[in-house]
Amino acid sequence: MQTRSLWMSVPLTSGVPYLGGPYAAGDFIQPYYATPRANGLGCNPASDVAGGGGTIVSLTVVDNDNQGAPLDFFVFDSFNWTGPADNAPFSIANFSANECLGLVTVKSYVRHGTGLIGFATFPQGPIPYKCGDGGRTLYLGIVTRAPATYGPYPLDVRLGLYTDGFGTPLP
Amino acid sequence: METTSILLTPTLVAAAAYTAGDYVGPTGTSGIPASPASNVANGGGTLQSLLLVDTNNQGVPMDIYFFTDAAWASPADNAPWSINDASAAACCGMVSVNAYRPYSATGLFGFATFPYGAIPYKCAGTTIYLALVTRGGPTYTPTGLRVRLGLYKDDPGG
Repeated sequence: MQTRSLWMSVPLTSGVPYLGGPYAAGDFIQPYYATPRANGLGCNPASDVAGGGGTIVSLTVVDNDNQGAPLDFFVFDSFNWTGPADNAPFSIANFSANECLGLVTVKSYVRHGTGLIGFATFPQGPIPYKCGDGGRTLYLGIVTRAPATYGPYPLDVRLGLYTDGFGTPLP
Repeated sequence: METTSILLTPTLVAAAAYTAGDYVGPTGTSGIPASPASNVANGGGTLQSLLLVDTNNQGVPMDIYFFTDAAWASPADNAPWSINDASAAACCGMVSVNAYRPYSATGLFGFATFPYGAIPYKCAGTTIYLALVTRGGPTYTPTGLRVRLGLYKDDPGG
């Protein structure tokens, strides 16, 4: 077992003029990628080896825009799941639901100067996973539980993981 | 140790209206097999998470019992939950889905709580078996439920 800490930014735009939300409670937050995709926030590398596994034990979110909205993070093991469009109500097909591994929630935040830090609770305990698709990536479906108006670069997410085995040290 | 995620796709027999306390299961008397729960015969592991995908949008609380041996004997699908002492001796733990979160207008996620902590097991073979017992009165279609297990196997795979 090896302890990992992954840091991901959640850009909502490529830098072009962005109107910024507002998101309504229950809306999906899809990060911007140069090659558009609809499977949430990719978290890589979440495994030492292709198709490897591990356990999610912590999640921290930095809210750069001071919105303080409760957030749900649905964890998926495959890029094959499909979320709704950014800023649309969270609704997925049964096929996608089958790829879900668990849920963590950020319910409240503490202030850190100009922004907020939210620490997720794990009401069902740590979340074991095995990366699907023969890959090394997990995917997070982020859903806001309150209205929020986010700018282009609103959120950063840190995942704390224990990966199986003692593979090549990850970046 | 090897982390594993197993998606179970049971086909229910009765696929009809259940009442509180009914067993919800497939053909046979061993419940829903989950394999491989071990990479070697008679190997062990630990159950850490369970997610119920309710595509029938019923949202009914569910108890899930785990058994280490196919020889345990369930009641018939849609019959009241009752097992004999020998079967009870093969039970290694239980989790509950008490509440659900919608993933669409017609589907629900049920995330199980582990009120007694993670569940260690040692398989009689390489499989563990699940028994679902409803605590409400749902109506399920034959393939209306999916179960995803998260577990740690003692022995890493080859």
